[in-house]
This record gives sequence, structure tokens and C-alpha cells, in this order.
Amino acid sequence: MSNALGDVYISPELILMDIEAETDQEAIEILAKHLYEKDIVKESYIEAVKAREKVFSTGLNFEEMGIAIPHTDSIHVKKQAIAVGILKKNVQFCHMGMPEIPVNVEMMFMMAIEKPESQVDFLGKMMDIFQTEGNLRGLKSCTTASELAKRFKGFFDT
Amino acid sequence: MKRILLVCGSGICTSTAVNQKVTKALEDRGLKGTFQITQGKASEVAEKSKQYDLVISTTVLGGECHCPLIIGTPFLLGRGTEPVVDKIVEVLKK
Repeated sequence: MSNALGDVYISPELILMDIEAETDQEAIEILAKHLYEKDIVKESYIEAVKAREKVFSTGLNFEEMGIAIPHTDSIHVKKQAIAVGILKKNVQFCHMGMPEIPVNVEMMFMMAIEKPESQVDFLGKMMDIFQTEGNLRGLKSCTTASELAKRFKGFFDT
Repeated sequence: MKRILLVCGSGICTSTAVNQKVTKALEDRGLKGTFQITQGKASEVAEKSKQYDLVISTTVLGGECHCPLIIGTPFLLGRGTEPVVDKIVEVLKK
């Protein structure tokens, strides 16, 4: 069955339930390194995604929860995926488009996107998922990575 | 035909997500076929904006913008979009 997720990989192995970080850069590095270890991205992704966050911040202050969606150019990507990281305590990011606004981020959704032109449905759908009340809280309340992956994937079927 | 340049940091991610939302919002307002959206990078705005009627950005721009500029972040958050659509429509109808 095809849905908006397409070939974007979501898996328990790409979900970190308990990231301990003080700053946005630290939090991003932990999840990016994990993506590299799982062979989803090239090693260059780690520095690229950190550098990009400094220039183009990715915090998004949804009504329900502050999140961040760090990502960078597709040349650093080997396989399309989205990694999820739950922060043990909130980390301050800057808001996308309005960097003067701080966002208390509880969860990161780190994207490795290779073919952006074919990801219109996926990216649009993902924003719908984040905007639907209850979804972000629901994801954060999961106790295991497999539960979270299953629930996240399920959102794309609706 | 009005030309809209939609930009984010890399020209791939949030501009793609916002493209879908803006297209739908404008079509819902009966403007289908009257506009054309091109995606690009924030860094290209200074150079390219002269060729467009409107720039919608989800990020901060490095340089000057030579046409009206609207911040499109509300489309990502899904709230506060109506006033932004109003502004876009206003520019398109000029």
C-alpha cells in the first residue's frame, strides 16, 4: 500500500527516547551521529546539519509542544529517513523564520531527505500530523521506540 | 499569471511543505491558474526576486528582497494562516 510516507524510513532503530543535551547543537549532534552510525547519512551530514541550524533555525512552536525539524542538503543523505529524538529536558532552539523567538523543544524530528521534489506529499502530510492536536503528545507519551515508530507510521495511513 | 518565489534555507524542505499549503489555500480562494509557484533558496532572493511578484519565506533572508515579502511560517504551524492568505491574495490581485 502506498501512502504519503513513500520510501521514507521510520524505524525503532532511528528513535532515541532519552537524549540528554544542554544546547540545540549538542542535541542535534547526538541524533545526527546516530543517523550516521545507522548508515542513513554520510559523515558530512553531522557538521552540515549543525551548521545549517545556526543559520536557518528549525524550531517550531506548535500549540501543543515545541519541536525542531533539523535537516540539511540532500548531498549528505544516503537513505531517506526521519529520526526522532525525545529530549530528557527541554532544549532551547530558535524559531524557524523568526530566530528572535525561542522555542522550548521537547522532541526533534531529524530529516534525511534525498529527493525533495518527490516528497511534497510526505512533507505536507507531516505538517498536518504535527498540527493535529494530540499527535505530538501521543508520540511523546510512548514508552518504547517500537511503540513510537508504530504510532508515527500509523499517522501517515490516516 | 503572478509569479511567487517560495523559499526556505535549502529550498527543499519547508518550502515544499508550504508550497502544498499555499497552493491549496489560494485554490480555495478561487485563484487556481492565476499564479505560479517556484521554490528556491533564501540565499537566491536578492538575485532572483526582481523576476517575481511575491516572495514567501519560511526563514530569514540574507539579502535584499526586490518585491513584496511575506513570512510563511504560519503555514507550517497551521494557525494564523488566514491573515497571511489575505495578504498573499492582496498582492496577487494587484
